[in-house]
Amino acid sequence: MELSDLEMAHLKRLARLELSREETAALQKDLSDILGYFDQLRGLDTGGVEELVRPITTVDVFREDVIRLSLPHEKAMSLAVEAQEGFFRVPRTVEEA
Amino acid sequence: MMTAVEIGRQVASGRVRAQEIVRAALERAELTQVELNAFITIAHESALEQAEKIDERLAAGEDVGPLAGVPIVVKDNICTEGLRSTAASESLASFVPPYSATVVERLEQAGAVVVAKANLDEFGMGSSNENSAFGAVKNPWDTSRVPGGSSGGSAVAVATGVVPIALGTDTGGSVRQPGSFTGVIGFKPTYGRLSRYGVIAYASSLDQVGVLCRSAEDLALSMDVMAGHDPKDATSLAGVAPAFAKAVTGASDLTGVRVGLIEELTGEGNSAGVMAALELTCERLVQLGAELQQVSVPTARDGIPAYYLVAMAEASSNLARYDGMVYSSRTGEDRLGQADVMMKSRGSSLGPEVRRRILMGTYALSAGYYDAYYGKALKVRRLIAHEIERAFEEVDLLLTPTVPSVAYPLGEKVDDPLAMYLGDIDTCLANLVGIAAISVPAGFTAERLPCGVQFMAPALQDERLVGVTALLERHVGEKFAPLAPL
Amino acid sequence: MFEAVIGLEIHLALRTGSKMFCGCAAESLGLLPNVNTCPVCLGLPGSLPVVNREAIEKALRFSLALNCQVPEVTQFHRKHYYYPDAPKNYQISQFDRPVGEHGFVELEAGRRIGVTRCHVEEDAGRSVHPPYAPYSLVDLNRAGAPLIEMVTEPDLRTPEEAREFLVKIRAIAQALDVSDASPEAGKMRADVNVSIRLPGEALGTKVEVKNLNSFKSVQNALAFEIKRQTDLLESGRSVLQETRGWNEGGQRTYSMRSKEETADYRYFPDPDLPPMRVAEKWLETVRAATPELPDAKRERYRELGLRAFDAGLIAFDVELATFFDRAVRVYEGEAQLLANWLNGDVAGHLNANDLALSRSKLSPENLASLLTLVDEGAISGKTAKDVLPLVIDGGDPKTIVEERGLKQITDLGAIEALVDAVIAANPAVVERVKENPKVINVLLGQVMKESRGKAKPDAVRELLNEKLG
Repeated sequence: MELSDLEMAHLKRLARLELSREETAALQKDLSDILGYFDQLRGLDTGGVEELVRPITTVDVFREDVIRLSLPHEKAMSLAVEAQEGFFRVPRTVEEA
Repeated sequence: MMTAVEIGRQVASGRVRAQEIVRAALERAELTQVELNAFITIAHESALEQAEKIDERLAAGEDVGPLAGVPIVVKDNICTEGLRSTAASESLASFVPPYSATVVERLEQAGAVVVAKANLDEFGMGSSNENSAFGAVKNPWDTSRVPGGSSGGSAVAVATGVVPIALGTDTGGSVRQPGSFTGVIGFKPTYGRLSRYGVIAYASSLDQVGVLCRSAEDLALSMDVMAGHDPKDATSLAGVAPAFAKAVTGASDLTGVRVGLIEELTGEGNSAGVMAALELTCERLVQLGAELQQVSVPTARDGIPAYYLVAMAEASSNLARYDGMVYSSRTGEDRLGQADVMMKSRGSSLGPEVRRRILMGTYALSAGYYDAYYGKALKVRRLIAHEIERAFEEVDLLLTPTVPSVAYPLGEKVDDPLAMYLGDIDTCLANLVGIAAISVPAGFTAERLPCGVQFMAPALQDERLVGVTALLERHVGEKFAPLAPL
Repeated sequence: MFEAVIGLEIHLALRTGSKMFCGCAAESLGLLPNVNTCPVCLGLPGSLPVVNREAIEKALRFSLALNCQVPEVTQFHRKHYYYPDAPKNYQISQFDRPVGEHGFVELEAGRRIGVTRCHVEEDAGRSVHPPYAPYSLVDLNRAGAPLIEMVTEPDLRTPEEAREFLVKIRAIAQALDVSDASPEAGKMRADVNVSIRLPGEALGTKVEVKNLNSFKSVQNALAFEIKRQTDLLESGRSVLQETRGWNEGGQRTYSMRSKEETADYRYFPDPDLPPMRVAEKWLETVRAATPELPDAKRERYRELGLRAFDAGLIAFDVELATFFDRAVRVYEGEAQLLANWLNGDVAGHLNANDLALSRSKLSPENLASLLTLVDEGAISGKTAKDVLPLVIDGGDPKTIVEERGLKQITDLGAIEALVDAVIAANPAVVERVKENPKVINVLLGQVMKESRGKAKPDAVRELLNEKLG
């Protein structure tokens, strides 16, 4: 199961990972190998079997609609990599389409 | 070396001060650090402060709790308020959480003192503790070998007697496997038994906090303190947790207990040392009165691909937030724009194994591939769950090796991800289906390397594992979990 | 010749105390940045979401009001996209098992508009983009606030109809206390999908328009788009499938050609959130707790005798309807009279003074009392209008009338005395009445003046007519 260059480029973008050419090539090979290994699952008959998302299912878990104390502003800001005027400062974002 | 139970009693009774115990632990941590690199942060200041408070409260006649003054180590992917929690990643190298994980809170409320944050494979991804931004951890029994992972640091802390109890996390075997490689007990409870609030997520439907220690009574005490519903974790089990301490003294032997060896995992593919440890354990079980038989879990060997698909897919989602925007490390100037800075930040602050799994997981979830990969893996998961359920209709406990090998040399598998992944073949099943599992020390190979074996119990029956461990411990005696040389 | 095919995607901010998955306040309007956050809505490592029960209840309430089918089990999915104001870089939303599907809303003229689905999700924070700066500023106060998203079938056909639909949804949401639903306060946002085709033919290329901040913008944007697409097709060109924005100042849509390929959201069920069962029992509790829908109110008002116009006006305004219902309970006269006053003079005064009904001190009981005074003949209609501002300001009508001696003079003897006095004092005018009967109004006016407006006008006129032939 080979991962094409195009697929690899698309994946990097989708995963927001910038990689050097060498890293990309190495990973492309690794991923192709791993995918090949995963293909072993294809042979298994899972007809009529439902997906198991949560191994032990709790159900109907809720929180009552009560307001709780938020983090103090300074605490929240102390976590910031870059803060400005009480906001989190980030590189320029293009307006969402 | 005193057990946690003993320490707690001695400190509470005033026979020894918490500060002395904690100071000794801190010193021992420093001693091991140069050679073994088990710790990312050794918390001298906060630990001594806490110990002092405990001594004051005890002097004032307060009841501090059963873990009074007990030094513990917490894996660095579990949040501790005010203490750096990095998940062994550059991305969180400066992250100081404003809150503690629920499990840590509960232990501290019972008097325990966090003396250090343990090294790990970055974000829990790895089986050898070689994937850390803070350097690899070494196995104390042979420092040219891996201690196992991803909770390598926690296992080493216990194996070398720095602390009696360490917290790890187990997603595909990350507590049990290092337990086996370092000769200590490694326990993963039923999914939902321990709160995941404050545990930096790797794979949400697989992660569980686990305990590393050297005695059944310490395991039981820590579980009794930590277990119980947490309203902040919607996957945490409701209802009353089992009484773990009772399970330690409960039964006097294993008469009438049926133990099933999973055929598919107990034959070929295991090293000679592992097979020997398994046989020795079987002898002991028989001596204790247990009935042994073979059971079949036909899809067992497909557990690995199913496990890794689920784990990687969920990881790609859980790690999407480490993008350099709010609190994680940033690389690149503003003028490059948001998308590019995100890509640079993630590319440079996330390690190679993490990047590998994120890409793989992204692929498994992406349009057109969901059904063939993630969706398929979830179906195989259900198949395996049915088979394990059926096995438990015939037996009370399942037995397998913990890992097909003992500790291997550093660097041996680092460049061969698939070979590394295959090491999880025995342990990943319990995570996939959510049941409790434990690695119990079973002896040493000819090369003086420790080897463990794995027991699994039906979902919610965690205490059965504490019971069998206590019996084996008593049966084996002093040689059960000896201290590793410093 | 072309017909427009329009669908709407509407987001409503749910009216709960706390956010969707954590205990921070749901309402963060006007707060300083980043004062309303916690580890969960900041997406800190190790944080976990827990569902707000009230949010699900209100979503179910809304879903039922839109005649949707509610599933037996509903669950959350993760929807992945990267944006700094979504700190986890995924949004917890719903995919295959939303809280409602296959519903409908009926407009006037029996037009039935299909509702494809209704689901709950968490809101993102807010980004500020200072002009000419290489950076943006992020405020996460709103991150995690609960939202309902509803999507319609492409059943709408005109911009006016789309607007009518939005007005109706707003009324329902407000009546049900599900959302404040005011676009101005950012509680209701709508995106539109519009294409055109020749009747009977296949659907045309769909264009999405976003960033519409008011119902008017929606209507205008649709009108503009329909014209733009019509012009394109008529000139032999084709419509490009794309997302466009709306320029309010220039009143035109514009292309938002983003660098992204079609987004791959990589949905999967959120393992941190267990599924939620919606048993019939819960639905019954929801139905029982659901306030009356505007349509039902309007029916009820018609039965009380209100004209269609007034019934509709009051039924679709939560404040008015609540006020009206209380007033009607204590007022024994014609409901239509109450409506006249509410929609007439009261509304007029409030508008002139830029006052909202809820912020005035007008009580339903006092309004009823005022109208009763007129019905009894204690005061004239004109007096009532005069004192209305005082009543709106909280005054009790009976007290006002007493204190100011505004009571109408109804005693015929007293009125007759006044009439006689005026007749005696204005002989010239009395003469002119013989030629021009209308001049009697001058005398009427004089009597009213002498009585300081308190003589009952009808009685005065009657006496004047009697005495002067």
